[in-house]
This record gives sequence, C-alpha cells and structure tokens, in this order.
Amino acid sequence: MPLEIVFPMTNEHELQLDLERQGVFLSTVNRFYNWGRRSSIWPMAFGLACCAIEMMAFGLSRYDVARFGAELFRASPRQADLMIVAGTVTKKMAPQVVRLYNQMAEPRYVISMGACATSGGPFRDGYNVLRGIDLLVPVDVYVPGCPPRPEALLHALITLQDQIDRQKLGRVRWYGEGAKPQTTDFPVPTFGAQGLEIDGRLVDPVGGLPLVSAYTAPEFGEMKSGRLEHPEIVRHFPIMDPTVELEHPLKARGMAPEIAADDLKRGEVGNAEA
Amino acid sequence: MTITIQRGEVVEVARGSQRRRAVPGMGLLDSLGVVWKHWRESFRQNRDFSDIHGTFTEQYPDERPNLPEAYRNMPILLFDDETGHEFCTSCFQCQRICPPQVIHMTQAKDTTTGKAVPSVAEFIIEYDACMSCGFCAEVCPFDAIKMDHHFELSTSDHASLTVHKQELNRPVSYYQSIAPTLWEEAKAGAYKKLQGNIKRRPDVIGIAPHLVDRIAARRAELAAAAAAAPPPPPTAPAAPPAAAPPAEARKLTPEEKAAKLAAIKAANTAKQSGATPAETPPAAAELSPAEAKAAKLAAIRAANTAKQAGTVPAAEVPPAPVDEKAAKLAAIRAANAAKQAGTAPAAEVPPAEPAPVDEKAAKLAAIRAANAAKKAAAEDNETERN
Amino acid sequence: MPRLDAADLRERMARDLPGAVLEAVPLQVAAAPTHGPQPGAFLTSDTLVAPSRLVEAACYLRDLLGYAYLSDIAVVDYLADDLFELVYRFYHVEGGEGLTIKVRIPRDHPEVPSLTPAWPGANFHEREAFDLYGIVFVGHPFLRRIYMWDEFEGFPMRKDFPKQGDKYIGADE
Repeated sequence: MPLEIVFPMTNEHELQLDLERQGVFLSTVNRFYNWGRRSSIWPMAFGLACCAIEMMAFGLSRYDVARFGAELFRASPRQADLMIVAGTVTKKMAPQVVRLYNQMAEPRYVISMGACATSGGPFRDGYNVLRGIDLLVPVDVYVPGCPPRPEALLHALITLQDQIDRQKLGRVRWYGEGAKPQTTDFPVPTFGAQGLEIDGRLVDPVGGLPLVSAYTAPEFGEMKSGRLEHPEIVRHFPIMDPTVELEHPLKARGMAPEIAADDLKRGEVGNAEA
Repeated sequence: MTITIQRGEVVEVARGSQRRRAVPGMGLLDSLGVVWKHWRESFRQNRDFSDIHGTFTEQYPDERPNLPEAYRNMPILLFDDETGHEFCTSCFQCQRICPPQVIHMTQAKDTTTGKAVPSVAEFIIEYDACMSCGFCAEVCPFDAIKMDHHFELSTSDHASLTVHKQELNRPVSYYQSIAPTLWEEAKAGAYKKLQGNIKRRPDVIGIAPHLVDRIAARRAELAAAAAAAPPPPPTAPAAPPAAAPPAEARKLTPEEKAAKLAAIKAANTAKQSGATPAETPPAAAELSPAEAKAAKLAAIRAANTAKQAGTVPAAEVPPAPVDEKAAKLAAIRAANAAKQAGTAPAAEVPPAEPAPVDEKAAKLAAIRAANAAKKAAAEDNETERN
Repeated sequence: MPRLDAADLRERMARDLPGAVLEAVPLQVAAAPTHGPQPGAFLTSDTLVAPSRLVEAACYLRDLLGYAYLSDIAVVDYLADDLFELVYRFYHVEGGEGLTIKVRIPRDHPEVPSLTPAWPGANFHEREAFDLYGIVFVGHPFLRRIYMWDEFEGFPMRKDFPKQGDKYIGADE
C-alpha cells in the first residue's frame, strides 16, 4: 500500500502524553526547548553537487524556507545546527565532511539530501564515490530523489522538526544518555591503500562490496553513537527475500544470464527469417 | 538591436528625467516611497509572474505543487482493480535498462510444475539510489511500471527506502487519477496483454499480495456454488445415428457448438448422399472439450466418407448468394466437387455460381476455385504416392 | 596556414618525419560476444606515431603547422588488444578543426615521453593519465596522483579494475 505521508503536527496527542510522563514542569520546559530548536534551525550550506541547486531553490522566494525559520544559511559549522549534505560525497571529501560535522555544536542534525548522499546514488559504482554519508556520520532524515524537489526538502525539514519535537530534554545522545551515547568525536577516515579506512579497518573500499551503514542500522534516532559498530557487515546487494527461490543466481544480481553469458540467443543475421 | 561601439567612443544612455530636486534630502524621501510601494505590493500574490512585484511563494504544506502528468518521481507497479492481477510479468526489461541498477526481481514459478509463469514473485526497487530517469516506465512492454508523482518520501529509516512489491503496488485507478491522458493511450494494449497473461497464470499467482486471500476465498465460494448446482449430465452413448436431442438446454461452449454444427452438417450431407454415415457423432450436447474435439473430427471424417461413398452432389445448385462470402462458399463447394470428380476445372467458372455482386468477386472466386482444384490435384498425387 | 585534415597530416608527417608514422592496425573495442553478429574492428583515421618520436611529432605540429594549442590527452584502454592508446588533440590558434595524434603503448610496460617540458599545460593531463591508468610519462617534473589519494594502490580506470558494484554476495559461487 502507498507509503505513509507525514503531515506536520499529527502526533500532537502522543507527544503530549509522552512529555507529560516526565512531569508537568519538565515537559513544559521541554516543549519550549523543542519549539525553539525546531523553529530556528540554521543550516550549514553544504552543497556539493546538483542537489545544491535544489537547495538554493528551497532557500529562495518560491519555495521559501524562511517561513520555517531556516533561511539563515551559515557558512561556518560552529554556528550551524543542521548540515544538509546536498550532493555526491567523494571519498576524498569524506574526511572533511566528518571534520565539519565534528566541529558543529550540539544540538546538531544531518539531512542527507538526494540519492548520492543517501547511498551513492547513480554513481555508487564509481571509484571515488562514498556510498552514503551515513557510513561515517549519523543521519537524521534521508531524502530520496535525484534531485528531490524543493518541496520534498521542505517535507524533510518538517520531518526533522517532528523528530525534534519528540526529543526528551535530558535524555539526548550528546549528553551521554540513551543506549548509545555520542560524546566523542566521530572518527575521521584516513586514506588507505584500498579505500577509506578508520583506525586501519576498511570502511568503504574502492571496487568491491558496498557496506552497510555503521551508524544507522539497526537503531536510529537517539541511539546513534560515535563508534564504528559493524565494519564487517556487508549489505546483501541486491537484497532479495531469502524465502523466494531464485531462478538464476545472476538474475538476482541485476544482470540477466543472457547478458552475463554474452549470449542473447539470436542467430546469425543471415538466419533471421522474415 | 545591435550596438557597435568603437574604441574610444563614449556612449551616453538617456535614463529618463533627471530632476533637480528643490529641497536637499527629497531624494531620500522619494526612495522611501519606493520602499513603501514595494512593501505594499508584497501583500499581493503574483502567481503568474506577470511582473516583478508581488509574492510568488508557494505555501508548501498547505499548497501542493501542480505537477504535470508526465512528472517522474519514483516508480510504482500497477495492478488491475477488478481482477487484482498485476501487470508485471517479470520480463526483466526494466532491470536491464535501469542505469543505477536499482531494480531487482524474481520470476514467479508454478508451484506444481516448476515452470516459469508470466508474473513476478518478488520485486524490489532501491528508492535510495533511484535517479528518477523513467527508463523503466518507457521500456516496459506491459505498462506495468509507471512513474509516480508522490515526492514526500523523506524518512529517518534508511532500510525503509528499499521498497518491496507490496509497497510498490498501486491500483490502475490511482495512476489514472494522476496521469489520465497517458493511461488512456496505454490502456488498450495493456489490458489486452494482461488478458493473455492471466490465462497463463495458474491459481492465484500474479494477484496483488494484499488481494490474494480475498480472491482465493471468492473463487472457493464460486467453485462451491458451481458444485452445488444440478449434477452434470451423463455422456450420451454413441449408438443412435441421428443427433439425439440435448438432454438439457444449457449454454454450450464454443467447442461444443462447433461439434454440434459439424454433426448437423455431416448428418445433412449424409442424408443428401443417401448413405448412412459409417460412424455417427454422438449427441453434441453433453460433451467435454476433449470429447467435443473428437466429435468434430469424427464429424469431418463422416462427411468425407459420405462424400466418397455417395454420389457427387455436383449438380447441386446453391441458392443465389447475395454477397461475396456466399460466392466464396460456392466456389469452395465447386472446388470440392471438382476434387471428387477428379477433373481440374482450369478456367471454368463453377456452374453453380450465380451472378456475383461484382465482376471482381467473380474473378476472385474463379481464381480461388482454380487454386483449390490445383491444390486438390497436388494432394491427390501426394496421397497416391504415399 | 592551410587547414589540414587527418589524411593530409599523415602524408606530411610521413614525408617530413620518416619513421615516425606507423601503420594503424584495427583494434577491437570490446570483447567479441559469443553469439550474434560480431562487431567490426575500429580502424582509426588519425596519424599513429611511434612513442619514441612523439615529442618530435608534436613539435612539428606546433612549430611548422601552427597547431600550438594542445587541448587534451586522453587514454583508451584496449583490453582485448592489450595496449593503451593515448590521444593527443591539437588545435590551431586561429581556430578551426583540430588534428589528432595517437600513440600506442603496451599495457604491461606503459611508458611514453612526456610533453610537459614543451607544453606546461600537459602537466595535469599526464598526471591524470598516470593516476587512473598507470602510464609513466618519462620526463614529467612531478608525476604524482592527482585524483586519488597518494596512498591508493591500483589504477581505477583500467578495464580490469573492478567496479564497486561488481562483486555480489556469492559471486564466487
């Protein structure tokens, strides 16, 4: 059935109940904190490629982001709340992305905009493309699209605002709370002989199997930590339902067996009968 | 308008009146007036971009964009509202052509025989890497995969961006509501192919997953109702020569109808030739399809033997045909008569042919008769050789 | 200067620089399919120059013919024929169509004299060819990687370098 459409402020009720469990005083303070944070998210403009154009459109007069309080794009990470990673992240740029994220002051959020930032996009086969920044940095909202419409990015901002509304005052990851506290800097990858490495362990090889995100699987939200959790997990790519029998193993890998065998089962041109 | 400016030339552009204001400082007030005018204008909506003043902002969550029909966001799969069948046959064309290779699928198999069925068992699209090019929709021969307009797909769960068939399925009515003209063009061909595919899908294979239970239940209901109906009549014995009247007046399937017709024709020719057919086709009423086919074959054989045994009804004058079809039929009959007689009526117009509607039809009929006779002669030679 | 086309250039170079121009052999662009119509081999119409005489031929183009603008240096990896082909494109300063020179070097020992001393603009192009294909330009003042990082091992644009999506789970099945 169709994917859920998230409308703003539909979970008011749940939110209230949730907050009231903390007690009236704290929940009111919490609401103010969250209201303040969500209504003035200042993005750090991090336009890397084509999605940057849609981000500019999102900031200009037609799809005005000033209505959401987020029109102030800060150049410096120290002054920004939100990093919108818009565009393809190359492996050479990846350590700088992580450094900039480390320099942002909490509360900080990340929106991964577009197909390239989410998963490498159409260029994920490339030798210099990082397959999604969620391999290195925790992401709060993913926006698929190539590029996503400015309205889709506005919708992502609204989704982020909903997430912020649900935050609990003292129990946020940057204060060391939650199952996976995030109090250390995120490790900056180094350049290795076969790809990007963190502490000597290969995170995103050049050529070879794509990797699953170490930071967002399986928990997400406030459970993200700064540690590389599953470097050895490989994503089963393409992902198939294991209970369904495959007709031919290569078909599951995005290649028809006829193409893999270089045999399109066509006779010589001379044999073709009208 | 071309302006050629040579080197050293000074061009003076006239910009309108340059008033010297009486009081110094009036210029400032004039420009404040401009600011006031612009501020007033900003309260006016200017959606058609008629001039540079006014607001063009589309108030996003309250106002949605007016997307054209051919707008592409992410692909979706279509299934028919009425039958519940999915259009997709797992032909792999979209998977082959997808540039970032985000489409993956598995062909459905018949559970009993293990043969491939034109239906898809598992279909996955990685929305997180899809580049919305629309090649899959362009290349799909069955109009099964189309581009959706829904763009509000942002989520905090990365794994949910790998969507499976259940989330990709949409009824045709949905696609019709977003792209009516495109669906109008594609509708006829898509449904025709779907009918062909439905025939090759056994059981409930190919029905959208959320409807399978309901449709299986309904089919069980119908089957139970059919079983509870009056018990099927026993098959009539083959003994009685003439066609026995049908045991019950129930609607005949096409095969049974054809068998009945053949039986009647055979009986007619047998009557005319005066010889009773060697074998009589049984009553065509209560026949299973296989038996009906056998009955048809038997009827044809009976007709042939009757023709060979009995006299040639060559002198039979058919009633005056009023159109080409009848003329053709007359020509064929004449050819058959010629075949039995063993003569080749080369240029001879069959005698039984009355004035056709036009000369062309007559000529055509003559040519056809000649061809039929030639073919018959050739066949006779072959059968003689064999 | 009269505008030349490829055939003219070939003729002139063959006359003025004896031994520099080689006979171009048709090359297979991709491995032939096992089934179906076979593609024809690609025969280039541009001048093929011996690697050792490259600098001389390029300077001939620049000094005598006036094609002073070296636009780019491209590399083609003919895996089926086991060679690299370098394509040098020159344009005349006054405009018009360009002329192309090609050089073929073996894949296992790819060395070619560098044009950087004569054309400073060739510096980055040759570094790119070295970074992505592993071609060593003899005489280049600073032959280091330019796209990939220095610690990287391997030459990504070679046809036998695996793409990131090439190996799937169970590919060794």
